[in-house]
Amino acid sequence: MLWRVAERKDHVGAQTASAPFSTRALSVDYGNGPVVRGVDFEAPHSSLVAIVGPNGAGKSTLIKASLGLQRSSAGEARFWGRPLREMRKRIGYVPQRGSVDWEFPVSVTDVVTMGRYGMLGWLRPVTAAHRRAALDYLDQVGMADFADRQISRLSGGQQQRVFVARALAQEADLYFLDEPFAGVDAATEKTLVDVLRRLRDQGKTAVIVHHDLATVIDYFDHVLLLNGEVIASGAAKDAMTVENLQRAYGGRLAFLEGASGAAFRR
Amino acid sequence: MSDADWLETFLRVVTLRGGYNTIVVMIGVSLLGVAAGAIGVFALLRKRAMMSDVLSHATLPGIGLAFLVAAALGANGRSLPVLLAGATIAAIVAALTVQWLSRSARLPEDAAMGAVLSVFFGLGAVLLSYIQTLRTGAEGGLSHFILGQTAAMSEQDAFLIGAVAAGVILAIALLGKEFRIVCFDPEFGAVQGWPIARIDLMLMALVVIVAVIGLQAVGMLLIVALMIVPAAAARQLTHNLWVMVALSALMGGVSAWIGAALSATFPRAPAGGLIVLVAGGVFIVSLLVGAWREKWRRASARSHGAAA
Amino acid sequence: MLTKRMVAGLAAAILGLGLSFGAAAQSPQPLNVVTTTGMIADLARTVGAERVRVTQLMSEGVDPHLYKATRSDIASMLGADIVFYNGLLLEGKLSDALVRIATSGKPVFAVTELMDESALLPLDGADGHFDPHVWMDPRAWSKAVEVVRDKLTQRDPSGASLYRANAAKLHSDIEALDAYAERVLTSVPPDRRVLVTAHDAFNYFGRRYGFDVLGIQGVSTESEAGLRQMENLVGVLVDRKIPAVFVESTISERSVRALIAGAKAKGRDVTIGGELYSDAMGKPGSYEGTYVGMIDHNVTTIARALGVDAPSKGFNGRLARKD
Repeated sequence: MLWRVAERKDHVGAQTASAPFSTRALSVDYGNGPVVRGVDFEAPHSSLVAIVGPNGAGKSTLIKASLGLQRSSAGEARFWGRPLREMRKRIGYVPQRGSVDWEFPVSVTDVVTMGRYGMLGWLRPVTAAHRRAALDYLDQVGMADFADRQISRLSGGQQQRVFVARALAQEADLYFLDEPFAGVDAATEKTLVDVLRRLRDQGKTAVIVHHDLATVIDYFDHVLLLNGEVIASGAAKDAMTVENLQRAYGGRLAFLEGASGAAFRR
Repeated sequence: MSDADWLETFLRVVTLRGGYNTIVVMIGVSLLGVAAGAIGVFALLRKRAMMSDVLSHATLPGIGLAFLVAAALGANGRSLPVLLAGATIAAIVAALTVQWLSRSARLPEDAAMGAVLSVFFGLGAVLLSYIQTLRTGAEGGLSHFILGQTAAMSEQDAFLIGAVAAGVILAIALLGKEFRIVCFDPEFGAVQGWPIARIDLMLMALVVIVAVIGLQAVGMLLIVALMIVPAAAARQLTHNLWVMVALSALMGGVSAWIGAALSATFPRAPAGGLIVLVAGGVFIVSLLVGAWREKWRRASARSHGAAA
Repeated sequence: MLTKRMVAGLAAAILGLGLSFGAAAQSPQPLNVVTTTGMIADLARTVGAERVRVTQLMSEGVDPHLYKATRSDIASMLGADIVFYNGLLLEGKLSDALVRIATSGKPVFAVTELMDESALLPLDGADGHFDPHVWMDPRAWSKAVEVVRDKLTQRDPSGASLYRANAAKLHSDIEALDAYAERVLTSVPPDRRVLVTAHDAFNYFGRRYGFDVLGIQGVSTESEAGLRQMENLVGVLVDRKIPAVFVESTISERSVRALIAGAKAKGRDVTIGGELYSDAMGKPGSYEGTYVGMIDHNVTTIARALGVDAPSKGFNGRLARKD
């Protein structure tokens, strides 16, 4: 049950086959009809990728199926061209905030330290060095003062920062974040965007399920527009056309023109 | 005996100056309480507190079948290792069945647990009823697995409990981070590569072990209480996982200690029931203490805010 | 020519034929008798002989305090001509079933409750309730023989003489057993006349033969043995220097072994004097599987364990030797 050490490969000047994250014909079916249908997608290196689409579009499902948290009915996901089990050490994950019980008796530091568990084998305890690293990452999200606080006494934004710090502590090359900006205050959103941009500038990739159309082009380099199947994908500016959005959202977009009119192109 | 006599007897007993049987029982059940309290925390946090109930009840058909198999093979059906082996196997099968039902048959977990508990225990009741009609005639001992025979604990029993308790504590110490991540955020753990289902089964295995060992000492119904109540009490008093484990183990051990001492003080006082009553009392006190502390913290936070 | 002798002979022949026809016509189906414990079944078989077919619900080794009726038990009782049970709440978990069957009109009799109450031992602390283990005193149990005889006769008057004869024989057997027991048990030195067993089943025995009787569990095995009781008994064992305690065939040995360990810790070596038949008899078909054999076994085992040189094969040489 001890892991083999995954080899670190250099991916400068990447070829398609070793995109940090790619899916081929990935489908997920719960038995009531497919939730995700035949998704072919590639996330480029060094980029921030948004997955957007209406509710029920299968955005979270796509990520979970790629990460092995749900069973896919067809297709596959690859990480630098390799299967998931070989690359886990290079992948960081920020689940939805609602997926855990925040009354659990752990402190902020405890949670961030969990990000280091992947570097420890079975039965090995967490060392002081790992704790220090965790505190470091906590600082990067601006939560150093909250190190000993019980997680039930955090605001939504603070909880989100802790989750992101945990993922940072994993020291991964590819990050998946599931709706990280949902229900957080503006200061948190700014902090986290800065963190993500720093990751990208270090050559890492982050794939993020995003709910706020107004900020897509501002925050992200690439976009996957999803409604069960791929509506569009590519550079954020190119993919976020009114036509594509209309196809994705059906008649549900009320603010195409006007408010953020400049953000969208015909 | 007057009230003063009761008190004097109780004080003598509780300081381990009772008779040999009393001392053996007090030490044995306290070690059991420590083990049950410790593992109970993780069962509680994994939202599987009811599993201790399911697994305890599921041992009944295992005991019955072990008895029948042993008798059919000509061996002594009432031999303790045989019966406990059957109990363990049945509990493991039950744990796997619950897991399978909630994953593959997609039943919500509490429905799966309820189904397994009822079916297994019902099967056990049928088997026991059948055994009582057999001419090998030894059903007498089997129904005591339900209520326990605490006063009849032997030194070997106590040693066995001690060894098991040590093993359980050691396992918890070694698997601390594995259990923590499975209880708090299994999704995150799965992405890291931890085999969540397998760790769950390890957790359940420890519950099974404590349940099976507890069967003889305090009986099926009461070992469940020892795995739930001290953990629930500790939850009220702390927000730190390891403190919670330590407190729960301590409260389990102390409840058992005092309950057994009370049983040795008063006539016709069943040890198992008294232990659970003491544990319940500890829980109520913890509830009150926890609530009061919360109020005090909020009040002082407000006053700090006002002062600032 | 018909002589007087021929007429007499013819009359005798006709009478004989008539009687034999009558007997044949009357040779009845055996009465279907259902009993709970083996002790009662043994009574019914002995008194009823070939005129009864006895079904015994609780086999040897079964604890009557805990026994729950199965569907086939209910069916047996419903198909019986007469049902005998112990009563006085011995069959604690059967009372509902027995009441139901009695109200359906079936002859259902509790042999202990139909005896003269003066034979019974009241339970202390429970007004109006008596200790059900009456069979432990052969003299008291003789009264149960009368109950069985009378009820069988009531139900089957043509068997009256057979029942009376069998009951009388059983009475005298029990008397002989009782005489043996008294002889052997009064040889136990007075300070050793203490009987410590797994549960309080021997109070009648104690009353009859002058023994102090102590059980780890109470009168019913449903109750859990208490620690206080265990400690008290250890104290008694040590103070009165009792050499032996006894296990019972229907109860697990654990509590008795714990008692011995407790005494040992105080420096007193106590052995297990033997296994007694308390709530059930021995193997069916064996001597110990009869009432007389059961009591014989108990008495002989107790006496020998407490230092009396009683015959190892019991009072009529029929006990199985255990070495």
